[in-house]
Amino acid sequence: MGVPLKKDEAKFNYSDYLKWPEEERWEIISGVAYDMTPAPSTNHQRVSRRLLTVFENFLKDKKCEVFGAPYDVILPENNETEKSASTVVQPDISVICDKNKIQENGCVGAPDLIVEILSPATASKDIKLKFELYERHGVREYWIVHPSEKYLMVYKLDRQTKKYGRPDIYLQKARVKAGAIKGLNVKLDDVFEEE
Amino acid sequence: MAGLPLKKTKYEFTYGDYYKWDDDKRWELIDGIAYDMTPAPLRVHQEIFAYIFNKFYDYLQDKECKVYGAPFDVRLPEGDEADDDIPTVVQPDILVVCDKSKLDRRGMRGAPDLIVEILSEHTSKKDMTVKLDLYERHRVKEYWIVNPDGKNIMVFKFDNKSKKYKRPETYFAGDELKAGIFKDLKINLDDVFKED
Repeated sequence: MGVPLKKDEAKFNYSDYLKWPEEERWEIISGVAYDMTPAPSTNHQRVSRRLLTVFENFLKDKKCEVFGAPYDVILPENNETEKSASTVVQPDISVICDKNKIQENGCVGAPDLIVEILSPATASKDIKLKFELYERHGVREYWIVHPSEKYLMVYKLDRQTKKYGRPDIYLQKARVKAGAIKGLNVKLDDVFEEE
Repeated sequence: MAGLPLKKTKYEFTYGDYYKWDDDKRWELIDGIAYDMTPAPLRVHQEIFAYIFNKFYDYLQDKECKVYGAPFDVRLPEGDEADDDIPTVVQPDILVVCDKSKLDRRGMRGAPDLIVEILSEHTSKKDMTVKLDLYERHRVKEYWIVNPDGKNIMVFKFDNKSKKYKRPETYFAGDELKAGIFKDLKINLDDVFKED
């Protein structure tokens, strides 16, 4: 598209990002820009819609709020301000329980729960790069959905080590309980059902 | 021995029962519950099996450890119970054992050092949930879950401190997998999943 590959070479931050053309979608992780086009597949969006519906219905009268992509999550490192943040991502689903983090332009700071739905183009980034990122920023729970193989891996931050440990894996008729959002549970059957 | 009551354990089935079954099916027993292993896996499953098995076979030629492929019975006792009372007997796709005292005529008793399971529609739930817990509990040092559809391999390594598996390392096309227990064994993912 219009923007050359030089985005691969330089280090970028959130204020650069704000100047990029509106019709483009990018993520910046530790200063490196990742192209978010093309849009995800039909099945990706179907799974995303169903999860969002379950989350929204559950959270309606509660203090946490859910947002679906594209929604900017800005994650400044300790020595960075919001504007100089070297990381801004668009998770498929973000649940945020601290209202102070919810700003006009997106979420500033770590959500409580993030869901990424894998697609072939982003699988490696979601499993490796974002895994480290979300762990480091203290995202309490990280769900990785494998839509074509129809399973879900749930990583929870250990209270003591502040690290993600062995995940639990859910598939078929399982019911997944969110640890970070008390009472929220999802029937996988409903999420992966074919239409 | 007619007239003696059937020996009861707290489990529904044990290896003693399993060994007598003659229904031509393949079964696994996990904590006394029987899992049907038929039908045979898909062709792609067997292609991947052959590649990984051969890698181990070649690598282990001049070493202490041995590799076996399914069907091979692994009896996992809870303690020091007699073989007939063991509630768990599994047939991993590929297993590596370095302690030869665990081997016997019927297979082995005790945990292998490394297990590889290749997912198929029929077994993926068991491989990723029940067996993940089982192998962790029996301290299998390394558990590989090979996903033919996603073309990736998850490697779970046992952590001696927490007595649990660590977060898995995930390898994709283009990556080179290094086994944790064999420092110089390398497996190229492109070769594992190459189509023909």
